[in-house]
Amino acid sequence: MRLDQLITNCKKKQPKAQGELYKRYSSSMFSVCLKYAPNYAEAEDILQDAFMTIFEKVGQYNNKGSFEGWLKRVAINTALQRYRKPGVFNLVNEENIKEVEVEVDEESIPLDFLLKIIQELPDRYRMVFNLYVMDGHSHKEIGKMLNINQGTSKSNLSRARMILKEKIELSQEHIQSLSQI
Amino acid sequence: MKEKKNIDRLFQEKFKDFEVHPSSSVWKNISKNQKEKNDRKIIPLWWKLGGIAAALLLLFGLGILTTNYTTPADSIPALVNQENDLKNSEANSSPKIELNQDNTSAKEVSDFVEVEDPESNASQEVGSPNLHDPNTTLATSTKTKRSFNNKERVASPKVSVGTQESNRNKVAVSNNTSESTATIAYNKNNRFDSTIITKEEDASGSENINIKTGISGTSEKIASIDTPTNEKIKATENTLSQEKDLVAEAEKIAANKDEEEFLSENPLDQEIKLTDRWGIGAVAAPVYYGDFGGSGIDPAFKDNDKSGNVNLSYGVQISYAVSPKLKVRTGVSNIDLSYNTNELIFSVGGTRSRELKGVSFSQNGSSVTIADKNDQSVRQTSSVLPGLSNEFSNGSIQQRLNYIEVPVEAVYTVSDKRLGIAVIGGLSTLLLNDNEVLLLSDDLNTSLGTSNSANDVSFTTNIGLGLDYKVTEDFKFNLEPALKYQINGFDNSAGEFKPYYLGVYTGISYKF
Repeated sequence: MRLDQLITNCKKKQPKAQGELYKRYSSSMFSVCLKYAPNYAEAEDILQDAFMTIFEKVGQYNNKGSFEGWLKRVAINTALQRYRKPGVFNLVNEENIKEVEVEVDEESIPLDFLLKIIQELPDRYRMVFNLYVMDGHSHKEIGKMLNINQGTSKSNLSRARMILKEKIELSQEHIQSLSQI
Repeated sequence: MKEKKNIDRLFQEKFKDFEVHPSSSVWKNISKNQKEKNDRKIIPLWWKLGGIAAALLLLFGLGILTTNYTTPADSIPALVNQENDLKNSEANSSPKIELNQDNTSAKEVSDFVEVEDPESNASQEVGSPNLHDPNTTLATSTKTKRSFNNKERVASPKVSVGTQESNRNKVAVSNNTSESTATIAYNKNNRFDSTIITKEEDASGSENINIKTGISGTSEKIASIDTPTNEKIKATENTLSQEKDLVAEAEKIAANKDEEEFLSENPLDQEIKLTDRWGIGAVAAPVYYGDFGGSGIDPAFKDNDKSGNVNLSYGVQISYAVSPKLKVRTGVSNIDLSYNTNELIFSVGGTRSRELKGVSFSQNGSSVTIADKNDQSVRQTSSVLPGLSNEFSNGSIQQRLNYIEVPVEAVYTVSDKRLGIAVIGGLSTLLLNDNEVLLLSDDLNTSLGTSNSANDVSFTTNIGLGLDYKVTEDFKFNLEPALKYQINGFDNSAGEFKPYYLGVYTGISYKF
């Protein structure tokens, strides 16, 4: 079925079209959910909620812009709603933290390890990291979406990067020491 | 040398083609949820329909009840009306009692009525700040009393109260607590006296109102409570439940559609064009009159063979589309119904020796005797004038009825293609316009009179299937076979007649 026909049928709430939509897009959307959730189970919950929202609100998609992009935004918003908490991390004045380039040794690091350490990040850091690095939002946009100010967004991002770097290096040392046995 | 890479870039590159299939439980939950949501959406729609059907049923049920229920001739509806008056009385919530004292004008003696506390052997208390009669003495007591307030209202059936002695005319039983007693204190010739009114069941099971004068007086019955007989209640309950069954069937048929079909053809948020909601049409139908038993002529003919006739019905309709799938419609039709009761014998001459319960004989029919074919006794008992032979011939009675029918129906569109299908259900009100009872035989057809058991107002429950063909966008040609079961068509004096009629309604309708 052509995409525009699929969308029209979904707007009419036809169950067959809804099933087809899920089939086509659930994997790419699930990847998004996995990055934003702290674990696999919660990623599934978010995916479920996201699709229910999509089926209900598909009428709001006005055929402008990428449909897949719209779907992803729904998934991200679903995740944000879940983990957006009032400013627990806003205690320190974080305006002055400079953005430093964080680098790691590029060895073949398994993908599921990278996913794991993203999921292990504290909620806010995880949100910011994903929104900035994976989905290309600006700090200004992130500020609006998470209801924080830009400085907080920047500092959360830095912290996230530091944590990830540490974990990568730790695992690389561990592998190295193992290989030396 | 290992290359240093920007951590952002590292993640971005690694996750570029990242796709993971979720487990199948996710889709299961989603589709389950969607189904529940859709069920919830369907239910309110059916509640609406059910609510309308129930409201119509209730209305017609009440109509039936009021026509069947007769009140005794000498009832004084004092009690029911007084209840309403009581509602409007002061915040003090004390009921007023009108009493006639020595045939003088009624005075407001006391506006305090109490329930006698059966536990305590107390004397009654009369307390009233509003006594108009200066002769009344006040007696006080320290007994515990319970006073009525208007909130303790119990619906009471109509009570017939006969007139009593001159100084106790209208008596108000204002309220009822768990004991069915009310105490009225009044002043009688400067003496303090009391009257206790109780509602009791006597040995025969009927409820009576007894009155006991004075503290040690005897109880005498002053009234009995008239309640509709069980038979009448059962009859109306039966017809009501039959109505309900038919309406429920119609709803079930409409509801037993495939859910998907419903969803695909009825997006509930789609607007009907604001024009095109109304429709008018003309309808004509051949109608066959049949029955499920009984007789409209006489109980003796209950088991006789009956043959329904086909007659014509014609009328106009107007409809309104409530939603893309649902229309309600009403209209007015003229309908002729007739059927024959066969296996009868008749004799002309002499005086009529058999009355037919359901027939009101005219002058014409004064000398006709009709009986069931197998009735042996009639041959012996009919009077014979000298010179006239007492011969019985075969014949049948035809009952003809002409009604004005006002239907109220709902039409649910199952399929809306060029050849459309719909399910129809509803109720009609029938107003008897004309009726005749005739005697038919090989030699003669003669009018006997009219029916005295056909009710002027009756109802039918209707169920039908609609087929329509869209001639143009606005014009439709309809073909609707329908079954209409008549309720309350005849009062039961004739013989518990249960008629119905089947019609194939054809017509054209125009949308605007």
